[in-house]
Amino acid sequence: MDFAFSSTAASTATLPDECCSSEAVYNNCSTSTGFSSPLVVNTVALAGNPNVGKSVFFNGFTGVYAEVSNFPGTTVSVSKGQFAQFKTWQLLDTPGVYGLSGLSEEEQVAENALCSVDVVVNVVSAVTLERDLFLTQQLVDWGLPLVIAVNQLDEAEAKGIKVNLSVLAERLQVPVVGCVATQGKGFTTVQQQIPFAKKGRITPELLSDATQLRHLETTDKTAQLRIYGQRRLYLKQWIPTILQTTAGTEAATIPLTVLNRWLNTARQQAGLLLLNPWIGTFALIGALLLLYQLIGVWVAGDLVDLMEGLLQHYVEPTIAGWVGLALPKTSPLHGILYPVLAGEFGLLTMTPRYILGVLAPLVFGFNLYLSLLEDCGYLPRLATLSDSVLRRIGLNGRAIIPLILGLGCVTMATISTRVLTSQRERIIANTLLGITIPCSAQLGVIMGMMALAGGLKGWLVYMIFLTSLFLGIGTVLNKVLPGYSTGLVMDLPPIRFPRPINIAKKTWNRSINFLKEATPLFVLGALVVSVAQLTGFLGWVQLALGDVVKAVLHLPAQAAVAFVMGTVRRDFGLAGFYAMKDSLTPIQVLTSLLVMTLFVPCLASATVMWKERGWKEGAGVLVLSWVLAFSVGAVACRLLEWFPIL
Amino acid sequence: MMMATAQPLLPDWLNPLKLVAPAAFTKKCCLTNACPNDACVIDCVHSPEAQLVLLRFGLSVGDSLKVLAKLPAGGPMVLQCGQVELALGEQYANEITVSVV
Repeated sequence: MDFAFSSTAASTATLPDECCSSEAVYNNCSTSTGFSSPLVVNTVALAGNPNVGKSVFFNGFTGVYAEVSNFPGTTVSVSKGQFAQFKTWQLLDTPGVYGLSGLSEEEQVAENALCSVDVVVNVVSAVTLERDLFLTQQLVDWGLPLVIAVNQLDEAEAKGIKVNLSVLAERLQVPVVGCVATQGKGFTTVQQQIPFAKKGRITPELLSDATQLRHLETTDKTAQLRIYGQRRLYLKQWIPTILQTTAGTEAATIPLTVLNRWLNTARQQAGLLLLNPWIGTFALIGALLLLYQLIGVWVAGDLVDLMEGLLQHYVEPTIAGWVGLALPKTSPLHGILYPVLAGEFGLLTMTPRYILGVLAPLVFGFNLYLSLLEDCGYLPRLATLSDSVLRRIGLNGRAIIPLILGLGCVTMATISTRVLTSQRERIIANTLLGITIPCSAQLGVIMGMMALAGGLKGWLVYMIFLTSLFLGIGTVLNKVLPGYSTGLVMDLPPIRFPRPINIAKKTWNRSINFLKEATPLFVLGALVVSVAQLTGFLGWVQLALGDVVKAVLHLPAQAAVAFVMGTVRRDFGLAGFYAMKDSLTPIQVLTSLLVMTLFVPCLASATVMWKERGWKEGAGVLVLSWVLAFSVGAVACRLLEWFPIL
Repeated sequence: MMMATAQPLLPDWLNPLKLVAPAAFTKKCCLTNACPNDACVIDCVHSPEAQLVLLRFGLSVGDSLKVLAKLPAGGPMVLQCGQVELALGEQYANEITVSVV
């Protein structure tokens, strides 16, 4: 693809790496600001609006994978890495923000990171340059040394937009490089420009406040409004000049090919269709049915059966044999170590079977599906569609993103509630996440067991219970908590075809991280349960809690053991139920699934919740989940017995 | 000196000129009352909070936008502002007065 758009060479957007025309960028710098000695660089930060491709730059510069998705708010914390080419430089990937003034937690995180580095690489999108340059000008006004990377030039070209990079560099008086990050174009030039980063030209009207701009913008609301207004007015004066093409033609347009025009229209229409309440609802139902087919039937049914069977029938006997050889019956340690290592809950038998045979296929399958949904641009449309419902529970549409991410991993989703603006919204979202949202591992086992509780019918009953609770808890919190919730303002990124390489990397990365986090807890759980069984404590628990479980939840006494396992991780407890699935009736299956879904959050997500929201809120969620789990279970089993629909 | 605007005697739907060439007229209204496909110009943003939020998204008084969709039951409005598609909740849309062109 030729990016040296066909007008005069000196004033057009170029991709220096490929087009051998880096002179255009260097010349701009030299003519506008003059050569200066290179900076001593230790730390570089990537900054920019959400969804402009900062994380793609991070991946390209460091070789380390940072998550990339097609929705605003993918990065909510600062990722750190080292430049692969310049080993002594550290790179920070900051959350995407539209401006810096501590409006949300992600803005505070970005602000703190940006003000402590030597150079900021500001990534802007050529498609939405008019909007993106607001943050750029703010960074310039704050006196930060900048390099501008104008990304998505290919998409801009397809939309008929042409950016004059030379004029942009002259206006801002900082180095400007054209890039297509998804193809790695422009990376080398951006890195070469980092030591030559410059403090740009401050908004003339703000010169008198230059020394205290950061302080004014983050503390004084009235001053902030004045400064924002002046900055936007200043930008309005010169932005048309950078979008202008050759004299006499219409600003910012170049001829579109028939295919590009058709693609643009198709993408926009597809995006709008997903926002139609009827089509959007059908699309959501379709997405859920596809999820059920993929995870519930193919993965949880066929693949898990195959993997579990292989491990149970071929691998476990072999391992048990080896342990038997190492610890013969004559050995004094046999009685203690053999049950712990190769017994019913053995560390070398049951743990690998649950992790590799049950959890791994489910987690990989679910993350693959979630990655596809994220990258095609569906989630922001779902957020828009769900805004009116979420507003009734004190949230806005943006909250759907952490809630959906919670279906992958609640720990990750708890951190991503930072995208929510007010403290109140974060409390509501975290409570709902901690109690009513099952993670991918749970969801996989639930879908697998749901076949025993009436398939789609059971699934429907389960969803009705969970949705009622979700709305009920949300409504109560909305009434009880002081303050007010903010409205929705959300950028809708274009519908895109997911990039297979990104889908594969993201699925792999998330699944491996999940398994890394879950495995030690599973091992710990198995150890505790094995020791409890060995010492007779498990039998005692079964005796003590068995009657309670029988009376309250109408479940067999052995279910008490699964609940003990579930205190370590909910999916570990569910795996316990999965093992006794053949002895449960459909009503018992559904009751156990409901109780385990609402049961205590896993150790990792509880820790993150405590860290993010404080111990009081964390402990509150913990207690509430216990009480709610057993109360809902008790009501559900009785209702289902009275109205035998399963 | 500002000239006083005469109060209309007839409602809009009885005005023959508006029936002949409706596009020649502009109608001032709250953004929530604009319809899909309406092209609007922002006349006023009432609250400072809304002004701050919109400025970050590149929107201020005098900017043009197009209403792409309006979700029912007090749902958000989908707007096209330049190349940016934006979902704007009712809380903010209520704060904006626009001229429908």
